[in-house]
Amino acid sequence: MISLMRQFRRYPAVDLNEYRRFMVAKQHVGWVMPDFAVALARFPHVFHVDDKAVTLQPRLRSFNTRSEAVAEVLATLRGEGLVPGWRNEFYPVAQGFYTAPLLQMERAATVLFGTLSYGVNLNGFVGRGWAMKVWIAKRAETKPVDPGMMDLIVGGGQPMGISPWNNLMKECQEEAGMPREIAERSKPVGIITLLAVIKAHMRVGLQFNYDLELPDTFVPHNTDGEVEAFLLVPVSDLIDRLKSADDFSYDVAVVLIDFLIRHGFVGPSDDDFLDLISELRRPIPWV
Amino acid sequence: MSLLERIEACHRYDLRRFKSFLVAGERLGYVRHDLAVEFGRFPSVFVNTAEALQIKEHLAQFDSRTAAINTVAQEMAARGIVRGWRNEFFPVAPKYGAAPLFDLERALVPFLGVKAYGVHLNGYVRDGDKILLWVGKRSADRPIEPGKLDHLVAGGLPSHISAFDNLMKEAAEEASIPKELARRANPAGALAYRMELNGHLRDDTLFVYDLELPADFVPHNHDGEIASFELMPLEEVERILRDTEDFKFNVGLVVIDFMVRMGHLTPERADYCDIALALAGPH
Repeated sequence: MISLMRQFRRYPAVDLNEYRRFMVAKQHVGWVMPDFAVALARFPHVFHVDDKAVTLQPRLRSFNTRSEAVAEVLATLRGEGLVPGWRNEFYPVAQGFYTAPLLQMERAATVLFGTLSYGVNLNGFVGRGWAMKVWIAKRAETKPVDPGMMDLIVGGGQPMGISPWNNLMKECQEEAGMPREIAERSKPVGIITLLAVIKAHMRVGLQFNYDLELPDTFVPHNTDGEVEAFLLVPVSDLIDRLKSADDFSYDVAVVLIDFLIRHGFVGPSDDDFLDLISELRRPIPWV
Repeated sequence: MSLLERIEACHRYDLRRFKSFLVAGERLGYVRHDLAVEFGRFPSVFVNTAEALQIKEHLAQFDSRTAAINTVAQEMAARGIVRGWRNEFFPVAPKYGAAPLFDLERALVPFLGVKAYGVHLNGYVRDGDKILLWVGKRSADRPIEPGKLDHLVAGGLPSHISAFDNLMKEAAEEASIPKELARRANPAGALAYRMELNGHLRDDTLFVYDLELPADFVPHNHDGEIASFELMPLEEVERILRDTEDFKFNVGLVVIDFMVRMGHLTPERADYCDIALALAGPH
């Protein structure tokens, strides 16, 4: 059957029993990819690895000592080609967004440790009702993640040391060349969560979503080389595309389905309405 | 009670107080142990075992099940076990949209803990950047939560009517919203909760609609179910939800979801993610 549920069936359901828990200071903060756990076992002064868990050595007691010890291991593994797509960007490691991070870690490694990463997303649209059109970006072929796939007008990972709002404002400028006075009209509209193993990456995610009704005179232009082109897509075409193809990044597809539901384009008379909703915000899988 | 606790209160139950209610081998609800005994007093319709309360297998069709269960329901009402008879049938099915296995008098829905559905309308007015929400005060003679604050329009979803048509009907009866205005209501999602309420298990899903109303619209009640209406700034709605028990138990869930979707609550609050995740329920 043709359904938006297609997007949630792109990747097999994750059987967490196949992954080891990443434990730091007795807190569960990740699900480690099996091959990567084997590599980490070679560094017993930093990681204790057993059948169930990869535990950061408890003698590493502070944010700084933990971060430095992990960085050293990752530098070695990077040299062996085991940490592809190095970003030189740090992500926090913690159970939640508002708790003090236990350590920071190179962004490229977070999908190997299966730690929770965050992002900000903007649904930029023109018009209302079925006359609505949604701005969609085509990612540059040079992007390390999902090159060439369809994306939101603005979206980005959430690094340390910046609030989601300020991050969104920055990305609006860099990715879409959006003047600040337009970007500031964005409204927070909730979150979605992600759990999927995609190309040997454990993606555990929580995305902060924003909506922005754009003036029809605004045309986005990319300034950081991350976007190849922007398209203004009628909402009905967007729905057809999400039902019939997998050309959107997975996380973007989930954000868009939430958008379509919040704006009433998918409702109680549609098949799978309640199933779609139950997929959008699954609990973060910490034990 | 914080907003988060308000949501969590709608997801609290202890299944040890209940046993499964089965129809044709499938679990459709949960019934309190002592009430299962009451149903078991009608052995031509119900079989009560240590594990589950079941409908007798010879009742294999929708019509025969509905009629037999309704006879029991009437008898239980006559004995004073069931109160608040509604004369309204709710469909009972394993899943929304699936063919119902029987229709059940609404007053018995919580007794058998079966899935039920409702529609809730956030009727709001914009004043510049501010959002104001129309809030109704339930009449003092309502069988459920009399005198509590409620949505502008809300109602259970009975058999043989779609969610949207039911919303249109309730919008006319409860708030006298003109049809051409009511039709602009937009679906905005659904919220499921399972909780113990008055000793019963409620397993409800609310279909949420938003309707932006013109500043000069004034609702008035038609069916006696709402005593008065008030247009409240969202800050005031938030304060009442936090500091009082004035809202009907499930309205907070829908209103807090509205506050998230409308950007009234923002990621700058330290409980933002917890609130957004709690609204989705424990799964």
